Amino acid sequence: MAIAHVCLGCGWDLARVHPSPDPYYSLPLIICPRCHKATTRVRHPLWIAFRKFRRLDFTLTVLGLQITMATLLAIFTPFASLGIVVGLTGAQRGAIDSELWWYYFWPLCVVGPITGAWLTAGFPHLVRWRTFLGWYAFLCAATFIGWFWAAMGDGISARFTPMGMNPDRWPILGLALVGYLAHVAMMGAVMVSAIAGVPLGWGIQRLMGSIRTALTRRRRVRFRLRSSA
Amino acid sequence: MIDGPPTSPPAHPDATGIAEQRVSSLVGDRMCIRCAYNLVGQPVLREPHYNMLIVRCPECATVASVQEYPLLGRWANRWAAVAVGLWFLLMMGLWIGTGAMIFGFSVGIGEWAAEGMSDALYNGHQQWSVQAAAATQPGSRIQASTLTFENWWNSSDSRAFIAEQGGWLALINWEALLLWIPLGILSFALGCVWAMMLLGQRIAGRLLWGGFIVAVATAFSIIPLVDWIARDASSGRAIAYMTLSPIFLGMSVAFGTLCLGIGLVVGRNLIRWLLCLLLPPRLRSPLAMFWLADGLEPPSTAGYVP
Repeated sequence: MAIAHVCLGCGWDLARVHPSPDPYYSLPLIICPRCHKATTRVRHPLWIAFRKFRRLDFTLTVLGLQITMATLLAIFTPFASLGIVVGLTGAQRGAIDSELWWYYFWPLCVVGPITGAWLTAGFPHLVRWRTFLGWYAFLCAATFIGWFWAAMGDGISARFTPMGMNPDRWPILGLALVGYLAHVAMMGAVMVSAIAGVPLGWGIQRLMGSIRTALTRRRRVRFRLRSSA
Repeated sequence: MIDGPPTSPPAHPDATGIAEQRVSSLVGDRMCIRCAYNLVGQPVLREPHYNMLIVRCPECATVASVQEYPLLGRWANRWAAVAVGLWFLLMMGLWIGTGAMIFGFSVGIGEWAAEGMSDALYNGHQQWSVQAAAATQPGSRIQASTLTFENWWNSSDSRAFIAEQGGWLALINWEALLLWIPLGILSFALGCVWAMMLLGQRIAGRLLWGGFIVAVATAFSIIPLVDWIARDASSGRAIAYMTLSPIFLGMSVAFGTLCLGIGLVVGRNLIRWLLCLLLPPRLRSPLAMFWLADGLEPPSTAGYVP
């Protein structure tokens, strides 16, 4: 049953009177059938709170998705691009086999396009090239910490540097710098491959827009049906 | 509508029951504010004193004014109390957790930094033991109790030993300071979280709360400090922990405090910037509290406003 809404003019309970949108402000207007006093439909605070919660919930869901995607890609992109370095090192050593192509496939054909789709669909309010550049700068800064850690901890493997340099022959910081620069270059390659994901991002963006439009249209139709009943 | 000056309410609610004018009946849901009885079907009355519309509960005779929002149950208030309780528990847990995080990293750094000195002392004792064993007459038995670390440490010149090792700086395991990276990042991140949670507090209040967090870390730190200082000088590790670990513990707590403080000060700005970065404008309005808490304009739905 509807929540009680008593006319303050005559005391008639307007709970079962359907509101109609007023022509000037589109407010849910109710004319009291007894005293003809005009009033707007009063929504219960609980219902308003629920609506606010749903809006906040949607916002937090989107925020959670964005943070999840950012975290996953901030982990996968550096590791996948490190795979390219490992693959190049293996190729330089002549250790090419069928398994090696996977080192190139994942970063360039999977992680890159997904990154591009996410940066396009998830950040429509930002300038695209700035978004791509900003994300690349963030990845470079994050991996710098990793390489710095590895250099200070003396834990750099020759597999993660191009041309399979022997760590004994190089000062460890120089080795880390070369490794880091190679890593940054490969992440740049992944970001270039991210351009392939831009059309996918446009598609997702259009799909989301269509869903939103359809939902808004359905809500308006329901409101009109309720009003005309 | 009030026709005349308000008069004092009657001594007994039933005293004016006859004068109440029935104007309609309730067809929607409205619970009694006292006993939660659903008042649907009850008459809406115009009471004689102020001409207000009321509904009287048939169960407990409590009068409900119908000019306010109808009460639909008591569970909303109960759930609100539960939510407040959970929020309080969460904040208490995070308070202790933040202090414990700073403490844990600091103790780890303190012990790790002393590892270099510990190893040097161990090697020095081993060398002394070998030399002492070699210096004894062949065939005579060396008593193991005379080759203890304590005997070596008391008999040797500690300053000369440290100088021989390259000084204090050479005895410190500087790799331990690498742990300042995660300590700093986590402390800063938790500072940002606290800046977000303490929405009602300005910078001074937030920093004061940071002081309470550091107080927890300091209180926890007393336990290992007492353990390190009260140890006997029976091993190189004990000497190293006694000498170096308290210094690095204090430095690490101070570093964690600094990063936490920076997070508490700039955290809210950073969160606003991140929200503007991650969310399209139309989704920012439910999070307007982060702007309103600092007396700023709510986020624009028109474009990018960091």
